[in-house]
Amino acid sequence: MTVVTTPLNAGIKPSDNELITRFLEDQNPEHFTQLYRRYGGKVFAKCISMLNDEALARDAVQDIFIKVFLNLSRFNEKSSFSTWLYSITYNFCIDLIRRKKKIPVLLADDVSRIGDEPMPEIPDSVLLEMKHERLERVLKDLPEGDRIILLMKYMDDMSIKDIAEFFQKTESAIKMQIMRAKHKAQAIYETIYAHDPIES
Amino acid sequence: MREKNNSFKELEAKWEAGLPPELERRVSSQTTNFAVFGRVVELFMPNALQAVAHIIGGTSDEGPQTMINPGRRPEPEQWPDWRTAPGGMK
Repeated sequence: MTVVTTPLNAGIKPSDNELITRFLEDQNPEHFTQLYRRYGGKVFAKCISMLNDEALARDAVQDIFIKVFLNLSRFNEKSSFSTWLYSITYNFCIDLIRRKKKIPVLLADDVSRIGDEPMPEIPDSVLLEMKHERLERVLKDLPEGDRIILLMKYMDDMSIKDIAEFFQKTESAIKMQIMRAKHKAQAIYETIYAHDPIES
Repeated sequence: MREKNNSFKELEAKWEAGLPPELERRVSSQTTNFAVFGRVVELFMPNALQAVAHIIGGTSDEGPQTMINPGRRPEPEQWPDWRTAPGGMK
């Protein structure tokens, strides 16, 4: 068995791209395991948040990493590895939701159905400062499309431009969708916690 | 300065901490299997394909070179000096 020397053993942390290059050179799965250790948790968190099911999320993480493993040679360094990995994660989970629930389109139709009615702006702090236990409960009750777009915006700090590119929508449509999702989240919060609106 | 609150990040940290440790073993053993399989394919597949092509009557310049003049002995003048010719002749 080949012993991996150099920075991995020497305690110097190689970058993601270095690990990928080494893996493509010698096909040593240890390099890939390093990538898994870095991003397994993040991917798992995204899967749980989107799929709302821990067992499904576990299987999804495994499938996503195998998919990444088999397609690693196609990774071009135009974006960072994490961006590439997260977009695979989002696509995988969205496909899974579509197949399970037989929803034809998650976001596109919703966005195009939004009317011109004015909506009051809800500050980000309403969601960002919510207790995380309550936020988890609210996210659970949100429709998938709204949940995913809020996670992209507030959990992954994706820009409106990147989200728009991902869904192949215009930036204004995405802004509108985020605003709508925030309104829905607030409405769910008010329904669930009507008896205790102020967090203690 | 007070750090900005982000309950999304707190939630993410909570979910991240729940990553089952056995998942690493599952992913790792599967990737190792794929890597081994890949190496086997890389080593044997080209020759195997050439051999199949040869068996079914195809020709290939790059095919296995082991079947050239099958069964043909070299001419006596090609024998190395140290080798005794059949019948004891030198």
